[in-house]
Amino acid sequence: MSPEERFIRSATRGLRGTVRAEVQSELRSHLHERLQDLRLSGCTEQEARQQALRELGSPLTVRRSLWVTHPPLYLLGWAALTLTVVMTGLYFRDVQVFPTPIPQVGDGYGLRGVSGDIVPGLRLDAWARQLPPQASVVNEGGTPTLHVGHAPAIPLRGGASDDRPLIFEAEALPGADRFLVKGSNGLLRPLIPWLEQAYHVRGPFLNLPNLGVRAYRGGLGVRVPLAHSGQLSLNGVALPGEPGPRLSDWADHLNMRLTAEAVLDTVPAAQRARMDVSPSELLSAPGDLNVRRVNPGESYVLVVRYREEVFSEGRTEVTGRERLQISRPVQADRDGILRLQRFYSPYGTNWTALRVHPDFKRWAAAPLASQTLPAVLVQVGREYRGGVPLKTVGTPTLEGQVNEIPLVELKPEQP
Amino acid sequence: MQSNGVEGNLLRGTLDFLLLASLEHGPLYGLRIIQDVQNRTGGHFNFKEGTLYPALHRLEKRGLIHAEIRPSDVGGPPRKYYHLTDTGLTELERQRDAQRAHAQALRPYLEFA
Repeated sequence: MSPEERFIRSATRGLRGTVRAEVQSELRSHLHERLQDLRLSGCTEQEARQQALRELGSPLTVRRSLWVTHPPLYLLGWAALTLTVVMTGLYFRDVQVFPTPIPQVGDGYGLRGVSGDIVPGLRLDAWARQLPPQASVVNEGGTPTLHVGHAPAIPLRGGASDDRPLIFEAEALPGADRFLVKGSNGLLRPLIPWLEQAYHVRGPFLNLPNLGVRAYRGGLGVRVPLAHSGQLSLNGVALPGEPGPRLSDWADHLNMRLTAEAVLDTVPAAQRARMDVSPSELLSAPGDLNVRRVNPGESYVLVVRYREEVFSEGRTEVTGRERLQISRPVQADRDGILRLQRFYSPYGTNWTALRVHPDFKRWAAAPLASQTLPAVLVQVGREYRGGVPLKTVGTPTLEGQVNEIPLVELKPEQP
Repeated sequence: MQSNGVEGNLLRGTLDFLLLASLEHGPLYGLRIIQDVQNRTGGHFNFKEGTLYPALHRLEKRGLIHAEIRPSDVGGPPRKYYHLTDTGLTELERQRDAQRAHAQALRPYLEFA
């Protein structure tokens, strides 16, 4: 860019549209003719250009004078807008503006569960509209009830809280943490409840894993998707509700619960009453493989009993109840070799190993006081990866095999 | 506004009058207005040329002069010619009377200083 053009642009900065174009044209005309005059008077090209610009003076002075006649009010508008955006950003800095990606079915919305896990929450009305012809939701005396073929009806409301499908009765937000406030003191803080109101969606919402458990307890054949985009099916009827990327674990969670249900059927009733039906996951740890010889091609999970303890006022107290930990399924190879990894023991416990018992009876009867936890290997059926017919559980023949699996202590920063 | 020949304040009060007066005998464009003022005042008002254009725009906005774009006869960018409006002519007369009264009032001090 030539010095003349630089002068023209600098002198007219801040002027708007046609006014700027007119002033620039006028200054260009001035410089052009002044240069011609100076050249004719004997100046060299270089001298002429320097002289012409010197005569014009400072571009800053010209600009200030032009701004008096043509005030750049639009710059004030931009400044106000910028200030508003910045202040809004500052005041809303504690608000999560972007919604958490959540899978949807129709108008369905995911909600953060009590445990902190994401479970699929689907709006009942939207879900019911997408049911296949063999299934329907009927309102029976104020209780929505699911009918699948000729199977017993499944009430969606009421009953035990651990398998109640309709758990979100209240109003909920799409992307519940969209307006999550983390101690905001911003001036616009009072607006947040109003925004929440604007985005409210009324339930009830359906919890698919709970529906699976209730259907299982009702005697229906439950198949649970383990692959992404799989669908929960009851008595062979696939139901809507596709787990999304953040919900990929819900099927494992449901499998774990159904496995626990099936295993509990094998223990005496008095003991079952002491056992918690919501199991936690037995996490595998890196380390040596523990090899078992089992039935070729079959899938197995390891189920562990442990004593429920609560940490209160710096002391660990035993509640007298029992809980279960269940591993993810592992498939034996064609030669019947099952390769189990080591597993974690929760941080703070003194558990050192799992003792694998050969059958349910000895497993259920084993004492819980020692550092070695009773475990049992449960065969869950060939089709586990496609959906588990969980009523056919059993234990493999493990006589004469090494029955201890060492545990690795789980450090606080580990999952 | 800058001035080499006289104090800036003095020029500031006189510039509008000079610009209006230079257009009294016909339309002129920016560069010629400057040259006309310098020729007729013997180079006394040697102001920075860049300050001329904001002053012309101010007079145009007040309706004292009117601008018209005409092609250049020397082959450069088009020129913007300014000419006096009727209001401008009236204003010129008023300012001329004021300047005359001003000079008249100063005369005793100038002659005996």
